[in-house]
Amino acid sequence: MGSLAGRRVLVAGGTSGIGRGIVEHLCRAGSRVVFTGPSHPQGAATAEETGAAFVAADTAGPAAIRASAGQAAERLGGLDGLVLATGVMHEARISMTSDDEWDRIIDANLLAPLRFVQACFPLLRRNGGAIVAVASGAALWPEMELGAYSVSERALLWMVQMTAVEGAPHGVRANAVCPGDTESGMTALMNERPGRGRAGPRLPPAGRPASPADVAAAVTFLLSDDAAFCTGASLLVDGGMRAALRAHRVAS
Amino acid sequence: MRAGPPARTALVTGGTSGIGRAVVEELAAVGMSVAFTGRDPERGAAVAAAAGARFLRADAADRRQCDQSVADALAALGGRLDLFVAGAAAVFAEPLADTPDEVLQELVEVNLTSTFRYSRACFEAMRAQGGGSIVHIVSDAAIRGIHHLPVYSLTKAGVLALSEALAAEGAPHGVRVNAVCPGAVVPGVQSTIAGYEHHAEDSSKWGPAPSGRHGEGADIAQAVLWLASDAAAHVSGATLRIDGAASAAMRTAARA
Repeated sequence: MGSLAGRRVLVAGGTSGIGRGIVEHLCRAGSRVVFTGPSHPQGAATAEETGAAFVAADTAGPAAIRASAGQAAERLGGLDGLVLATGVMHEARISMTSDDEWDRIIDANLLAPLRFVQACFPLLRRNGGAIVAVASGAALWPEMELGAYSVSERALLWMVQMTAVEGAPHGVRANAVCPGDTESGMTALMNERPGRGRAGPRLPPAGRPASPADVAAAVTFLLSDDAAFCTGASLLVDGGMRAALRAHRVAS
Repeated sequence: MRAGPPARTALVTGGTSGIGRAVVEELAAVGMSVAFTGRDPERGAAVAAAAGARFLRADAADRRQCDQSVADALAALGGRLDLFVAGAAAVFAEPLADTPDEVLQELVEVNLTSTFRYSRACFEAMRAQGGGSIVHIVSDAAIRGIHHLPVYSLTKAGVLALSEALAAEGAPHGVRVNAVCPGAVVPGVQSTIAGYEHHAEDSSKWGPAPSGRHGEGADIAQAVLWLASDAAAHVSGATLRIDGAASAAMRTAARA
């Protein structure tokens, strides 16, 4: 695999779940990593365990995001890669989604990543760089029970594609990974809901949910030079869940 | 199959210009009771007079005005809403990297959030009355993003996902939800962010579709009428491209 050793990468939203898995993976690959997240003992713990640097940052508004992006670039002496993993899951149908919930989802899943791209674009443009967004399979094929979430992820995917077109002349690539259900990730919470008991946890054709490492491996590939001509791509990492209708099966 | 009787009452957002206006005119022409929203009271009054429809002034960027317009529409339409058409939208033609944050927020509010909020409110009314039809005027930009309209494109992509997710939800309640995706329609979306009026879309500069011409408001209005009719009773969650094959394949040439 094209080496990521020494690459300077900012992981926005790296304290838990898939984001944390990505931080671990990149550190093992020899990248120099700064990750952001809400100020929390989890951030310090992840930093301790991985050797990455933690920048406590909230993602409320463009100023906070510019500040944390600037701080990361300063620590790293520049920026070669940006991973967008600030997303939040929200289980609600469209009709049951309140204004507050909608605003929170759009802010975390669409506006925050977009603002990170805006903040980092001038830095990435200097030497050519790569952006990878952690979107969702729901971006490609919405889920009724994840209504607003699906909307936000679709828009995020389009943001990545538009960035790919704008970035290409400057050597900046932008791609997305689209995980399906991921263990210990946001969707694991859904399967624990009481209402799910009757149907049981759903599994993709591959027979298991994704691990954060599965997603991190795809992110690592898209960040690396092996993916030098990949831009504007969406890579499903979902064990075949969205490869066809009725592909999922119910665990017995 | 014949189109059958159209729905009787309708609310159209963004009905004072462009596609929304053509939809208002067509629905009123076939005898529906139509209420429509828009920002500009002069244009609203003119469309209302010409079409015989009820104008409700509401800026899609203002949540309170939007909520009020739904209540006013229901009152004006006798408490029943058979059809909701989401037409309000604004364009902005700058690269993503250079889009000011306040513009970004307003585009998301007008194109995506207001569509969500109107759809949610109308869905509720339709579920309570036992059925109805929602049509989202989306865009080819939601099929493939349009390079010079990045934020417009991503908000429209979100609307298409909204349409799909809401269709799944509405089906057991007799509420059908569909999307139409116009290609370049002349004259193009005229609604922009205040201070960026020069960003109004001039579709003519993009050349005609492979069919040899640009779209017209009436092309879209006819499709809305069909989607709202009983002929489309089993059509929900659909995306109907109305673009003269412009988004069907790459590098298509217009007929000489």
